[in-house]
Amino acid sequence: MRPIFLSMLFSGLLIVAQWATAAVSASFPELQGEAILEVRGTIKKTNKDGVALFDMAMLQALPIMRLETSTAVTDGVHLFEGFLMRDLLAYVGAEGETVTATALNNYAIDFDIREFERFDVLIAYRMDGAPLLSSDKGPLWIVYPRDQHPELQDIRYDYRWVWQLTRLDIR
Amino acid sequence: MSRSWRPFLGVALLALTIGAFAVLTGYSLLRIAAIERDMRIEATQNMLWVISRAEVAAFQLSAAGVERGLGEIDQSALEMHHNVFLSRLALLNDGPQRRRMEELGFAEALNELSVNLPELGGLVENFVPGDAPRLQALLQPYVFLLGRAANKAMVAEWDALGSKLDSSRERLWQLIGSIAGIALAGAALCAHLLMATRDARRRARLLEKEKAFSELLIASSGEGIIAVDRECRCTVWNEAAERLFRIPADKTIGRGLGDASGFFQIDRVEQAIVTSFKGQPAVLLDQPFFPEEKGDPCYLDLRFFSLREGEHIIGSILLVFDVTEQRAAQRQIAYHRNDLEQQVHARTKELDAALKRERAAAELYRNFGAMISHQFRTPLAIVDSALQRLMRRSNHLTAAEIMERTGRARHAIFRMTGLIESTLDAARLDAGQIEVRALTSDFGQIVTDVCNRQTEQTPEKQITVELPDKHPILAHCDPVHAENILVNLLSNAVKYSPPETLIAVRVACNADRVECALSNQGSIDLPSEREAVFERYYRGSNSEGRPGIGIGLYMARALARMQCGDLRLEPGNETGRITFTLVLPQARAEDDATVPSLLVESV
Repeated sequence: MRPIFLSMLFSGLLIVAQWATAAVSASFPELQGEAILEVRGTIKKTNKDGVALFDMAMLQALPIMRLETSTAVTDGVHLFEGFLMRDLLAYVGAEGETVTATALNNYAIDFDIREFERFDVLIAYRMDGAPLLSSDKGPLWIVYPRDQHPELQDIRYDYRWVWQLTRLDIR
Repeated sequence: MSRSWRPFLGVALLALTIGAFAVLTGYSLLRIAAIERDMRIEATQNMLWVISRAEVAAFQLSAAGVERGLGEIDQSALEMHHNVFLSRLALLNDGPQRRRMEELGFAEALNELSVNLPELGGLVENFVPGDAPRLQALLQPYVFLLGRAANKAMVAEWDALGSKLDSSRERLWQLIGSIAGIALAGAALCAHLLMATRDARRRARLLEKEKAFSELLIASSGEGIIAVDRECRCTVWNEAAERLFRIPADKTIGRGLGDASGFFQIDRVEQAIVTSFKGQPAVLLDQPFFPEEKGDPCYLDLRFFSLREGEHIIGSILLVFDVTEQRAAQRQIAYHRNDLEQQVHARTKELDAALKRERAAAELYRNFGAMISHQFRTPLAIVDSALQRLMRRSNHLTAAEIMERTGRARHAIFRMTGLIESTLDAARLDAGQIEVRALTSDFGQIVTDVCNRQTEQTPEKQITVELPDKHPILAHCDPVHAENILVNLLSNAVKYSPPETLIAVRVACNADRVECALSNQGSIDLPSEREAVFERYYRGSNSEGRPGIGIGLYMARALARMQCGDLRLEPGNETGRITFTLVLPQARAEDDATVPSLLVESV
């Protein structure tokens, strides 16, 4: 009686999960507002000319993560809100080894894609409750859990904190 | 004095070295930590890049204004460059970068310039082609200021880098010195360690040697050596113990001693082990041990000693000696000693007897000498005087006188011959040459005949003979010898009794004996004389002046005993009479008349 019930429950959950995935896939939306991030390269899902374009609403629809950490270029500890880099990559079905992040001023940094598995690397759109501004480090800032992992308190990680992020290229 | 502080100095030096080692190591670690800390490059030390990028952003915004004026780019591109420029300024004004700018001395100038930013923002937002020169004019002081700042940042960074390298180098040298010190201290410690190790190894080797030697000693010891722990489990069982108990070591080592052999379950042995556990030695001597297989028991001496480790008693050692052979030897010795004692005793007895015999012989010869000198002199004197008279008066003597004198001389010679014959009889008796032919004889008749003959020879003496009623009185004897004995006794009685006294002869038969008692008046005063009268050549105190050689009674008793009879002197001095009794075996009438002759052994 019980195993049958459990297996029924399990099958039910499976169906819901499949439906949810299908819903996300089906609902990869067309761009509504201003595009603030474009994802290119070896990705499975695109919404315009082989490119995945995101407005703020689409990015905010991704699972929200919070992270408290200090930074190399500011004083004190800040609360960052945003989404995980790996969630975004999974969302677009990225397949590759390297991710190149490019900033508004063409500052470009290469990441090993496995790094996002090792660390909860955040793409933040909010700091201390306030949206990141384009005139400062916004609208998107790659944030590492610097306080949580001492090995990240290194200049070789400091240069990866790309702010005014506009583009990701996956190879 | 110097010896007492030398070990202390060694320890102090070692402690000092270890202290130096620790201090230097700690110091080195601190130095290394400092270097490690210094090696961290902060983002703020990258001010040249930060300032340059701000300068570039200012240039680009300025250029974007011109391009926008020419219509080459759209408004959003202009705004983007504006944002980038603002972003760079915001970065410069943020925490660490701001402080760095203050150090470089450009913070104030940057603040002064920032009053223009609202105007700049307004220009960008509502850009018209004619605004490009004004935009350029507003950005120009930034470009100048940032250029100067970059210049100074570069110099400061290089100076900082140089001094940092200097300090790092200095610290590295200190570190090198410190490490050299550590190496020295380490080398000293290593040397000490090596020496200590060598010492320890040497000691260990010595110990090994001693242990091996001890083991060899234990193994080759002729004595059984057994060791047990506090639980009485066997830990040592040497070869001698194997031989003694006939149990191999592999059956005892690690097992209870009681299980190895029942011998160790004996109360005495267990008690001795417990005693040794209490720290007192114990000894058990001459304990019998019965081997499993049939055989004679062996005898063991056991000594128990406690086995100590420091203060604690950790077991017991048993030394076992096989004393079986010793014991046997001791028994042998004791046996021999007893035997010897017996032999000595027997020999002493023999010697005593020989001595007695020798003394008796000496006495005999003395008596013989005395008797001869006395008894032979008298007849010789008689013969001599008779012959002298014959020689002196030969012409005047009548034939009767000559006959009378020669007759006296012959009588004396006859007596002497008789004496010599008696002496020879005694010698024959001693040599065993006298034969006894025992027959059933009429003893009454013999007594009567002898008495009658004596009465004829000496009529002055009255002799009374008393015979029992029963006739005949048969005795088992040699009639000749019996007669000789009686003749001797009777002649003695005649010779030594006072005149006019009665000599009584009385024959009686009791049971299987025939007894003939001869008594005469007289006495033997000395008790020693009573036995001496039967000795050869002994002559009593009353024999003075009477012929005789002291052979008669000796011969009489010897002959009586040869016929299985006896001759004894009766007690009875108080009656004033001397009584000799001849005892002979009684013969039945039907007894065979003759018996085989007996050869007499020498006395």
